[in-house]
Amino acid sequence: MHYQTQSWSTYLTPTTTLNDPLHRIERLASENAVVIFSLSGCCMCHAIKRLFCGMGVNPTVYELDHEPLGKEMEKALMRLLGTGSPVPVVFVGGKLVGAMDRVMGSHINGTLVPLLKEAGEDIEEEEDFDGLNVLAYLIKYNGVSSLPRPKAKCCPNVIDYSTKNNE
Amino acid sequence: MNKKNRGDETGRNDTGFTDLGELQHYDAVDLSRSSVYNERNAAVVINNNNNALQFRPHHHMNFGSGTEMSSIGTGVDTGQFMMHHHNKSAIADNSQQTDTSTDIDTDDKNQFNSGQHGGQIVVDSMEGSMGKIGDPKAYVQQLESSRIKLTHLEQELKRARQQGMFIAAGASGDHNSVVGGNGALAFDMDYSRWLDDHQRLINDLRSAVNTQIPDNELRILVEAVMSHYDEIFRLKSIATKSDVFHMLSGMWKTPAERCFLWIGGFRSSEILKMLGNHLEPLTDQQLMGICNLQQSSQQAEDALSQGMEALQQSLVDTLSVGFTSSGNVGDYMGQMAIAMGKITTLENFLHQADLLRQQTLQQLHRILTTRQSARAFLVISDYMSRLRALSSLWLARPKD
Repeated sequence: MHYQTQSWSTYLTPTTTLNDPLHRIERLASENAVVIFSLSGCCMCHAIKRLFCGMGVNPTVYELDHEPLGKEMEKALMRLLGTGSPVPVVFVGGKLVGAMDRVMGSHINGTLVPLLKEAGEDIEEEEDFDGLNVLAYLIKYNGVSSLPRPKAKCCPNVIDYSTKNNE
Repeated sequence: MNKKNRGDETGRNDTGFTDLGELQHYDAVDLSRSSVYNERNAAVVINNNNNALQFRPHHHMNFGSGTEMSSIGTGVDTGQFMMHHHNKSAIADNSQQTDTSTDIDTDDKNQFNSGQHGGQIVVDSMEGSMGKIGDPKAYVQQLESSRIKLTHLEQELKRARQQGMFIAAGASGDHNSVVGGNGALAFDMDYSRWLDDHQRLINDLRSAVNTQIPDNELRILVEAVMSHYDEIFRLKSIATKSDVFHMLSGMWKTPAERCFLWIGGFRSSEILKMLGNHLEPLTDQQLMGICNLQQSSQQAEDALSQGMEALQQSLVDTLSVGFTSSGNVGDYMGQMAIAMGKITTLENFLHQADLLRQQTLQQLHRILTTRQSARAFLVISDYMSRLRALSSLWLARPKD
């Protein structure tokens, strides 16, 4: 799995930045393609995790109540977002996407998937639209009332939405 | 002398409460012994000035003394009591009681069922109609029958609400605590008004589409519909902060619409599926856009649904802690506090669901051309009004 190696701080001084929550957030965020900061009891965080799993993405989740510096990181995230709730927060490719409203908004307006692909995630998406493909797509999405959900707690890396059976 | 005829004062028949006249001449009646009334914990204030039925919470006021009882008006249609004379001092007492009731009103706003105080009826009898009570026993009997009538009224009100009717609460300027600003009833009225405006905009749009007006003029109408949708989401957002359970219940919608309710509103993916065939012809890029929109809205809905399930489960868990009899109050209050916090999360979910609906509509509008958007809005609106018509037909069905 590829991920962008964007280093936010080119020179790490061992003591000063090690305990700085914001630096820790940035470092963790840049280590994986999709990073979610969450709290273990938070239901909105659960929803956002299911959203990514539903897309076939396997996000890296940090539960801040189990993290060292967790409390400070929560406060830093609140300052970063400017909202009342520190979690959930999503970083894609090391860049901040935002809380649930931003993530959902960018998914709806079509900007999330390109962002995920840029970060190296393998997203199932229709790319060419010839007649037969379109028909298959319409049959699939008009005949199904809900998309298949991964049943396991940790979602598999790829959900098989195979449409390539008409080749 | 009783100046007004009781018949005149019940002119407000459009609310369907014609029994109001019976209660009008009681100034202060302590019904705290009524078990039904205690559940409601509200005060019914009948203001003769504007013939409106208003509900205000009331603190318990004691009217136990015999002399005060004698000043209470008794003009009830049983023929048992006669209006003998006007007791001037009693008028003064009366207005005092009226003033007190107004003062207390400002403390408890908008809470029909609030308070842990005994229920009480205070009648602002502005004209101060009173007389001597001839027979105390018969008087008490009168109180009882009025209590029964009140219970009956409340049940009617509840039933009417559940059938999706809107009760006009007859607001005058200084009774905004009941109607205006926020809260369930306020939203219901706002929604009703919004729906009327929406119908008007849709009719304009429909005639515009049928008369083939140029695109730039059509765009103005389409934009108007779009920003009108933004308006209802704004109203929902305000109402959610005030009464999340009412917004989740969908009681402001008709029964058939409520059947398809998903977290306080319509399912975006359903709307898109319904639109599917009515949008042709679409370019390949538009088709891809619509399909992706349907997929992403479906995924977002699934995610929010699963989050809601988790929230409901955690609420159940919170309320299920420690059913043993030795549980102390501290634990109980602690659990309640946690549960209250989860209700805040519930508000958040409803907010996200509304955002999803709004953003789906906006993205749809972005993908489609002006003419296609116009057609789409017409289809959506027609579909919703068919659901409402179905509800009306069903409610009006002959019951055998």
